[in-house]
Amino acid sequence: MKKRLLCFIAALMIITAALSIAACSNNKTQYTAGQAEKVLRIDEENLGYPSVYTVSSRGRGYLLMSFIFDTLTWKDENGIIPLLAEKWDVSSDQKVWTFHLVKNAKFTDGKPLTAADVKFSFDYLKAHPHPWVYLNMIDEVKTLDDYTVEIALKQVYAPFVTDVAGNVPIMPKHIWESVKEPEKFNTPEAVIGSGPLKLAKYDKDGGTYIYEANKDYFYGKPVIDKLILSSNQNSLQALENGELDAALRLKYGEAIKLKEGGKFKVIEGPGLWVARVYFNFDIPEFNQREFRQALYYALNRQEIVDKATRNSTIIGNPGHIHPDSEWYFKDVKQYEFDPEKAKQLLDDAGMKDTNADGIRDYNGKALEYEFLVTDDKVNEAEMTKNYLAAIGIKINVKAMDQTNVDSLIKEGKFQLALSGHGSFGGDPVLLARFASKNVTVGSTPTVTAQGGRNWSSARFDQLFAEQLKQTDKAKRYEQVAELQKIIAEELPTLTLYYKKIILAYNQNKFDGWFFTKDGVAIAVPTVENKLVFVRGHWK
Amino acid sequence: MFVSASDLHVLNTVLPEETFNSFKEYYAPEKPVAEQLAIYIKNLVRFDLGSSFYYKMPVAEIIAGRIGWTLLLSFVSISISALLGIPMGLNAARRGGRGGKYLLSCFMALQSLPVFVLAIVFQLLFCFKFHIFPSGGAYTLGMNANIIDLSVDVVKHSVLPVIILVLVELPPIFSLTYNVCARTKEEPYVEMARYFNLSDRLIKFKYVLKNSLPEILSKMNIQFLYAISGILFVEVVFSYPGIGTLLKVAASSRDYPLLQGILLITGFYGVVINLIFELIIKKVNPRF
Amino acid sequence: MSKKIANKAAWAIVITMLSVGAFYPFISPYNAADFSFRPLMDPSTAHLLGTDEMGHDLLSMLLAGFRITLTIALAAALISTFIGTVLAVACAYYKNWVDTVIVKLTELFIIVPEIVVLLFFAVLAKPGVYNTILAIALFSWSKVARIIRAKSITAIEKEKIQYTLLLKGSIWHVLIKMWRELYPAVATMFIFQCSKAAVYESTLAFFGIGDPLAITWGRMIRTALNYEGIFTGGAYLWYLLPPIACVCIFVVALSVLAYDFERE
Repeated sequence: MKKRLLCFIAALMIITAALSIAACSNNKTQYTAGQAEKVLRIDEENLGYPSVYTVSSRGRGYLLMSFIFDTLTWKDENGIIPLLAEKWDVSSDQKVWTFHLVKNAKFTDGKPLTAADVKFSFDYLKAHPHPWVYLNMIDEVKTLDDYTVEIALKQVYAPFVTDVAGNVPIMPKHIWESVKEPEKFNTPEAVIGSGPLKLAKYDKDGGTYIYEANKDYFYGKPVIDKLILSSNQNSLQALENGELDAALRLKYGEAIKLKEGGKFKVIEGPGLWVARVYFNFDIPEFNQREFRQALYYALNRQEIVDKATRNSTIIGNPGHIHPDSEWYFKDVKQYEFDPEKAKQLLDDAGMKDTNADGIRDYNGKALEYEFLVTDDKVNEAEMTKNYLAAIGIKINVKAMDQTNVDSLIKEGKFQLALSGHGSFGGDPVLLARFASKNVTVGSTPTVTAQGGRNWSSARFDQLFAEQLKQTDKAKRYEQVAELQKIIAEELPTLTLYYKKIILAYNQNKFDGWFFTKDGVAIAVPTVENKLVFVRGHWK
Repeated sequence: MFVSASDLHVLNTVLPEETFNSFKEYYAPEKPVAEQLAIYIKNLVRFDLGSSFYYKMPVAEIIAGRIGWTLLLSFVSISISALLGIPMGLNAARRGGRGGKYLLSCFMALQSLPVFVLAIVFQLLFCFKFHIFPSGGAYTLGMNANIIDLSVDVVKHSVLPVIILVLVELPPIFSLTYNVCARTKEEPYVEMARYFNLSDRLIKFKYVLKNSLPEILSKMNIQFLYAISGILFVEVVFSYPGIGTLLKVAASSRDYPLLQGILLITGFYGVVINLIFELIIKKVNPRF
Repeated sequence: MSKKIANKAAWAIVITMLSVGAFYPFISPYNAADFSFRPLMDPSTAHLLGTDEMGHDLLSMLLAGFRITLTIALAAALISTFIGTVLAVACAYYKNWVDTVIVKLTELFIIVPEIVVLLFFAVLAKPGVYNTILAIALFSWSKVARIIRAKSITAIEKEKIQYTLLLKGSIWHVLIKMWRELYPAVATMFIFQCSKAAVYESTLAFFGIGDPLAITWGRMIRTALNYEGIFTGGAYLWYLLPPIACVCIFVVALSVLAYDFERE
């Protein structure tokens, strides 16, 4: 009897073992079979259907969409380059732009891309607001002939070529003209564009994207046949096992280990991504400049960079602009870690601990706040809690996922918040997020917007509007420097750190990766510029 | 599950606007409770579980895309545990003595451990230390393979989760069978059979097992219902694309409609399991 | 004989763990919230379990985890055992529809796993230790109610309790009179609930629900798993395994005790 049972268990175990061994050996043949077809695998998260309006409004969403949809201009490692527009001129008053389109661009359904599509796309995006595209400065778009477009502006807009021409996706008119609700447009037709790749499959449950090469791409035939983006749980493991050819979602420490291992090539560059503390200005004491300054003095930003982010970031600049940017101005007010000074500032502002409970009070109310953070920043939150406790301010940490935190900040449903966002580089138009709403003429994506009452300064607004119209770069730099001084003095936000971006990849399979200067479109930091798939080399 | 207007006010201060509005649309809290109930039931009958905040898709659709993997794990692990546990319990009870008792206490300890801890330890050993099994997922992504390769791939990914689930599900089945059979063994008719010098094998199957089976099955029912929570956590550790991983996403993104959909679907699973077991018990012993 | 040793060992473990939880400020080498040490140190005499990636002393965190985890486990178990017992006695006392409703309710918790319901409400609640305790307590009493109900129904038939009923004693009087009969079962259930609450707590923390900064074993397990180098070096030995071992030892010791109680 006992034997029978043992036999049964043994049989089960043998079957399992046999199956797994078979699976192991089988897998190898798959990989070799996969090499005949040039498949590139990269990690990614689930960012929605990659059409213009259905994809995630975060920067990486734009990127996935840009594989399919082209723009008039684009960027590579050295800056701006022509894409759909082979050349362009501007009138002497800087208000009328004429774009001459390439003649061989085609949508993937075979129809040619013409000036009518360009005009249609600008008009459509103006009629249907998009989180990434801001077109209020445009007066009129005219087609001069099949391959020439003229865009007239209401006022001079310095970053036009990069932030508008390099940002507006050109959509096929014959498909989109009948689309009334673009947010719900998710059929295969919604992903017909002129770009180097076309969407073959999107698995919305697993968050997997399979793109195929557009062999007729006007800019050049892509060197890969297929691009697979998948949301692996453990990118490091997947890269080492050969399940990925390049990995972006690695922790900094992991990337360093890979680099030391020597098997993979690792490149790092500016992430154009900033983490900052948001104030809700509906809370009276947050409107006091001294309070905000005290908070900044109390935060040991260097320690946050070292410990919470484990050196995967660089320390934040009080003037907000990234130190690597050509617009960076370094002589602004600095805030070295100094709790004593913070305490002094709070004392002077009349925020003292009147009831000896260890928490300062202001107008009879204790300085106690809810601190909203994204769930990947619990370490930063813990450190902030300690730093602020040391100067007599109590915070209660509430962690939520990125999407919820974004929306809560946008709607002003928070007190203090710590969050981060990309689109942080390139033209200083990004400072529009500190200008009052009525002066804002600029393409800051709404994902970085803040609800409730905002900080405002008439001088800042005026300077900001002026510099946008300034086409002389040296003069504009001076104005932008002045803006940074105001930010550093007033601190409408506390800039904590800037992320570095890393890519580890198997150089024996595919190489040619580069960092796009100032990021694609409006500063989407990336190494996955779509041009890599055309210019890169397959080994 | 019903929401009053005041509850909603609280949610309004902590939820993003868009999320809040879709919530409001689905529950219609301004209406009287009876009407809310009517709307709710109507929605359920049409399989309309609302729309997920996180995925921005109908909850029913998302769950339908995932439930297959969870059912796969659950049925495979439950069948293996039953096929191993019942004979083991029967044998231990028939032999009596200390062996069964020792096994019983070992299993008891194993059973009380948190499932996810067990899963982590196994993952550590078999995936990261010895690289025997893939560390997660249900299949290799983007694989361009024929049906045989694909099924082998799926089996390979499910081996470790299934082993862990069997470890968790086996002990209660074993101890249940052991206890019931140990009692049946003492029954007069079994003693009698022994005096008649019937073969050991006959006694074991014809007398002990046959008479114990209905009771075993009726209690095993509950164990299988408990098993579902184990499955959910194993899925999370191995990022297996079933309901469990969905639950984790829903929990961390505060996706209430999705959470509620998962709650309902696990309840539904429970009811179905109950029905299946009632049928089996009727088959085995019509008197029950 | 071996049973006795196991029982004694279990008692010793539980008592040691409770006293560590009670006196941890005196034995903890550092303040658990202090992150001023060099991150990711290997174990040394100064830091017996090394430090984590932020510079916390891991031993201090583990010891602090005793307090929070055990507090949550004990408090939640106390409340849930209380709820379960009262409901069970109510079944026996009122019978009829009260009994039916409560039994149906416990059956509902068999069909929908407790932990899923618990997660649903823990997510809704404001994060914090009190809410974690409440969430666990409010949704884990079904087994207590089921088992105690059976005991109460036999107990209530006993003479002295029937007297109390004749004297129109309230449910509390009956509960007090019945206590002698119910005590062993309630004690067993309490121990059982402790171990369950500890498991639920670590599960919630592992899911990242509850106070994100509370130092519990569940949170330590989660942060350890988030650390990318956990499996590449030996770090899992002093970072991941200690909290896992603590949860396991605590839970197993409790179930040994519960098992012994049950047999008596």
